[in-house]
Amino acid sequence: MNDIEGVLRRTFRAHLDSIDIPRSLPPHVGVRARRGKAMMVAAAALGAATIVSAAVVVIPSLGRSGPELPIGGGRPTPPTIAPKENGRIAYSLSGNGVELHSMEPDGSDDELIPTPPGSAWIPAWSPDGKRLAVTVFPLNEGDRTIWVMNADGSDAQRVAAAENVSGASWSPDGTTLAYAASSGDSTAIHLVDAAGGNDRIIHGEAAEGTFAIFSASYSPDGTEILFDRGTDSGFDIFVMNVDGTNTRQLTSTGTDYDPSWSPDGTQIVFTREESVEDGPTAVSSDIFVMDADGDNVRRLTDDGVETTNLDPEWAPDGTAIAYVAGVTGGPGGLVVVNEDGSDPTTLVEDGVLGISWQPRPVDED
Amino acid sequence: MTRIGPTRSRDVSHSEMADKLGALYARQGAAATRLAYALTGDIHVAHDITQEAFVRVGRRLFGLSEVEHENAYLHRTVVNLCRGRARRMKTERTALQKMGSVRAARPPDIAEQDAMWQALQRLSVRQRAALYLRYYQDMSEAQAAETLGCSVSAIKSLVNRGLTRLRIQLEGANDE
Repeated sequence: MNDIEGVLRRTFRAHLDSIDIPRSLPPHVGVRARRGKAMMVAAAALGAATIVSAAVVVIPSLGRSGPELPIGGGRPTPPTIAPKENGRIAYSLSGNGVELHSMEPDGSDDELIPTPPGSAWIPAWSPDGKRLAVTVFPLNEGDRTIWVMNADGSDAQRVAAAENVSGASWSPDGTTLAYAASSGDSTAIHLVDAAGGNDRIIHGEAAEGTFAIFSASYSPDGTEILFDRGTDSGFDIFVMNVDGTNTRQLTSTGTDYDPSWSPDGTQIVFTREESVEDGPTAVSSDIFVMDADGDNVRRLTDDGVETTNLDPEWAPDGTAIAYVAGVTGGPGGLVVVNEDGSDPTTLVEDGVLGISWQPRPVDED
Repeated sequence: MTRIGPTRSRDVSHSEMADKLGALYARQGAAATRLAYALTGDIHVAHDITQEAFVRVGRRLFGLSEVEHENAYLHRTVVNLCRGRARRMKTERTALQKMGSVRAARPPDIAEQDAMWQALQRLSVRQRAALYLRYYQDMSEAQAAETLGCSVSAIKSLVNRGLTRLRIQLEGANDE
């Protein structure tokens, strides 16, 4: 095509000049903007996080007009956390709907785990390896839900529901789940009892410059929550205290998400998007690792322009990392690599959406 | 429940907010909607994203000092809302494709501009935004950089890569 720029201009004009533009904004826009501004004004006056109700936390403005967020640093040395033995890998598989499976770390003994009706999208093993929290998408209309069940799928109890929910993350004592949820135009990080009840927001989207929150992950020592959210520049990784205070930004590339703690809490594995010049997709993504304070970022995978490696999860003993190796950001294979990125092994060829690695129950034979 | 103390900073009345937002919408509403449509390809989503962008800009309207900064912040907000939506949607969309939903095939006699429009939708949101600002809004590289909050060299790179990818897609389609 010789005159691609000319065709581009004409294409934009043809498609954009005559689209329907509403004459004015609907009234709710001004109402919501004013309400959001009032919350920010109040938070700035307070200068610290304040519980304003049983459910909402107001945090200081995080935009350019407010105080700069500290980048990394300042994280106290975590207590020594003993590694656990690697148990079964739970994973969601698309094909016949989305089903939950589990298998041994070498890929053997694959079993189907029954789940509530719907697409069993994102699993999360409890710290003792005896229960699963599963995020389920409905087959038709309705809220997305989080369920807690035994490892064999029995005794499933619904603990959370919203228009959209992330995967759940267990507190190290197994009593609480953290998750991100969105309803309407707002997203927030919630804590809820693993037995159900006492659902509360610890980090809301009132913070200036926040566009959406996509995940929430308990640190192995239970003192912090790791999460990724949209920012003015894209997506980045943050960490805060478990009460919603002391939010720190760990990355600032605008292309980082899906963070997950190492079992000892000293490192974070995550997905980083990279724009590519050629190839079937506009972006590729690979797995990276950094120290828990955001320093020492290093690449773990480098699979070229045709792949989108996503959703990394650390093995409970800290020696390996599992991730979804896909194309165009969709389902893909389940690959396990050593913690230095060496020796990749494909355990499931295709169709994998979510992964969780079980800490082997201590009383298991 | 802990009460919030009295605020010391200036609050905004409903009429002040409505007037300020209305004036900004009159100046930039069409441009924001067109940008959102260029980045999403869905007019209904574009309207939703435009409204959400104005909500967020409204929260900052009394702190942004110049009209130009308002416009840049609005455009950048639209781009990032589109990126957030694309990220939330992509896993579900490809998973649904895996579960057997049929993807509509492109008819062989598709017009050149329709082919270009479809090729645009396969670019990253930032590449599409850069091309939109340069080839529809006719912004300079410096203006486009300010709008997207990046460097001029980043704009050059986004435009060059976007054009290259379009060329590859369209030439590949012509070869079929």
